[in-house]
Amino acid sequence: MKRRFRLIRLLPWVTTIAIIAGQEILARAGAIPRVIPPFTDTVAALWRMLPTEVFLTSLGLMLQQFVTSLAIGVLAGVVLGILIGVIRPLNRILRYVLEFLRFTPSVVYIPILLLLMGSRPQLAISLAALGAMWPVLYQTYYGVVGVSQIMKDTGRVFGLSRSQQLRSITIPSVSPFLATGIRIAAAHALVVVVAVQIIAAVPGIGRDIQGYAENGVFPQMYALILVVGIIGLLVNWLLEMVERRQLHWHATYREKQA
Amino acid sequence: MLTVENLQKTYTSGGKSLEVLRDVSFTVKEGEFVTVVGPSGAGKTTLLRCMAGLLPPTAGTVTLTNSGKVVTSPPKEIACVFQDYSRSLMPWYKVSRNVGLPLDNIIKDKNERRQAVEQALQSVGLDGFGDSYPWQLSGGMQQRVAIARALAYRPEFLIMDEPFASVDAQTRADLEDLILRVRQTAGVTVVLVTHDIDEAVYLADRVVVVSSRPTVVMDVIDVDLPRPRSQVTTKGMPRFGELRTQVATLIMRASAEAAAAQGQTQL
Ligand SMILES: Nc1ncnc2c1ncn2[C@@H]1O[C@H](COP(=O)(O)OP(=O)(O)O)[C@@H](O)[C@H]1O
Ligand SMILES: [Mg+2]
Repeated sequence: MKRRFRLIRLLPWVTTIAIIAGQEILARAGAIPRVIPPFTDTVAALWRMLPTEVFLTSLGLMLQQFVTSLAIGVLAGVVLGILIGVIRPLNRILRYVLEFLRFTPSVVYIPILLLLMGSRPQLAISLAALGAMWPVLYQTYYGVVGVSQIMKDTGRVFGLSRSQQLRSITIPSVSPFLATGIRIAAAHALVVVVAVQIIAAVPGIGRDIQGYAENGVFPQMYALILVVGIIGLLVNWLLEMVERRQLHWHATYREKQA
Repeated sequence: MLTVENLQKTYTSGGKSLEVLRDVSFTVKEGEFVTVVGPSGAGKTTLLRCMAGLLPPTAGTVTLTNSGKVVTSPPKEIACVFQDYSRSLMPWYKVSRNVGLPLDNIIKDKNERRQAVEQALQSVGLDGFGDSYPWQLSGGMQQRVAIARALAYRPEFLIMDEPFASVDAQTRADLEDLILRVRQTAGVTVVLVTHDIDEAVYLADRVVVVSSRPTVVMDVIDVDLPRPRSQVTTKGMPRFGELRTQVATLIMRASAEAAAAQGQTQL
C-alpha cells in the first residue's frame, strides 16, 4: 500500500526527468533540428546569463510590468464587479457591451496603443491590466450575486450594520471566487506582458527572447523561455499558498476535525 | 404580543405574479409556543420572512403589540433560526464568533460578551466547542449553534423556520426537547414553522394550521396537553392522537380544496 503510494507520488518527477533526458539524447544524436538545442546547453546558457546586467534588468522590468498590471487589473475588476453585482440596472444596461469587450483579446489593441504610447512599459502594463481585469470582474460579480439569501437574512435579523455585513458576510463569501479570479488573472497578465514585449519590443524578457531568436542564439532564447515558465510556476504556487492560508475554512481546504 | 393581521404576499418577477399568502391573521401571546403547520410550498417561509421584517408584505401588518411597533425591517425583539444551518452559520468564523458577532452591537464590554457567548453555548450543551468551526460539527450540533446564537441575542420572540427538518429522527427529538427546555429558561416566545404534524402538536401551546397556496389560516387549535412534555409519555396520550388527527384532517381538507380549485381552473 505505502510503497505504491510513494511510487505514484514520484511518477510525475520520473516522467519529467525522462522527457528532459530524452530531449537531451535526441538533440545530441542530431535527431531533432538544431533550433532546439540539448537541455544542458540551455541550462548552461542560463547559468552564464543569470549574473549579467542585461538579464537582471530585463527580469526586473518584466516583473515590474507584471506585478503592476496585475494589481491594477485586480483592483479595477473588484470595483467594477462589485458595482455591477450590487447595482442591478447597471448590469442590465452594460451587459452586451461587457460581454463583447470581455471576449475581445486585449492584444488587439497593440497597434493603436503602440501608436499612442510607443514601445514603453506603460503599453505592456495597460494591456495586461485589461487582460487581468476580466476574470476578476466576473468572478467578483458571480461572488456578489451568489451570496446566499439565508446568509443575508441572518445578517439583517441579527442587526448587523451595513459595514458589518460587508466585512462579515459579503467579503468572506466573495473571497473564494476572487481567489480563483486572481489566479486566472495572474496567468493572463504574464502572457500579455511577455507577448507585448515580443510583439511591440517593450523592454523586458520578451523583447530579449525576440532578439535572440532573430540572431539565431537558441540556447539563450530557450534559457529565457525557461525563466518565464519558472516565474509562472512560482506565481501560481505563491497564490495557492496565500489562498490555502486565507481560505482554510473553505470546503476545498478543510481538514475535518472532531 | 405579536399580531399578524390580514397578511398578503404576492411575488411579482419578470411580469409574472404568484399569490402566496392570501390572508393570514393570528396572534402570539407573551411566553407562548405557537407552531405553524402547513404543506410544503404553502408559503411558510414567506410568512416568517414577513414576520421577521425581512420581506415587505403586499398588504397587512405585523405588529409588536407591547411597543405598538409595526414591523417593517428586522426589529431587535426578534431572532431567527433558519432551516439551512449550513448557509446560516458563517463557515469562516469559529462557533464562538458566530454566536458573538451579533452581540458586538449590544454588549460593549468584551468580557461580558465572552461570558454571554459561553452561557449560550452551555445552554444548548455545546460548552467547549467555541473554538471549533461549524463545519467540524454534526448537523444537529450546528443547529444548536444557530439556536445558541439566537438565544444570546436575547430576543423577545424566537422565530424558527423548519429548524429540525434536515436532521435525523433521534437528533430531531433531542432538539425538540432542547428547545422546550431553553425557551423556559430564556423566557422567550417562540413561533416555529413545520410541515410535521407530530412536531407541531408536541411542541405547541397553539397550532396555527395553514392551507396550501394561496395560503389562508384554516384553524387555530389549542393544545391542552400537560407540560413538561415528553417524547414517550406525551406522544402516548390519547389526547395527543386526537389532536394530531384533528390537524391532519384540516390539512387533508386543505389539499383536497386546493386540488379541486386546480381542477376548476383547468376546466
Ligand atoms: N423570492 C421569491 N420570488 C418568487 N417566488 C417565490 C420567492 N420565494 C418563494 N417563492 C415561491 O413561493 C412559494 C412558497 O414558498 P415558501 O414560502 O418557501 O414555502 P414553504 O416554506 O411553505 O415551503 C413557492 O412556490 C416558491 O416557489
Ligand atoms: Mg420553507
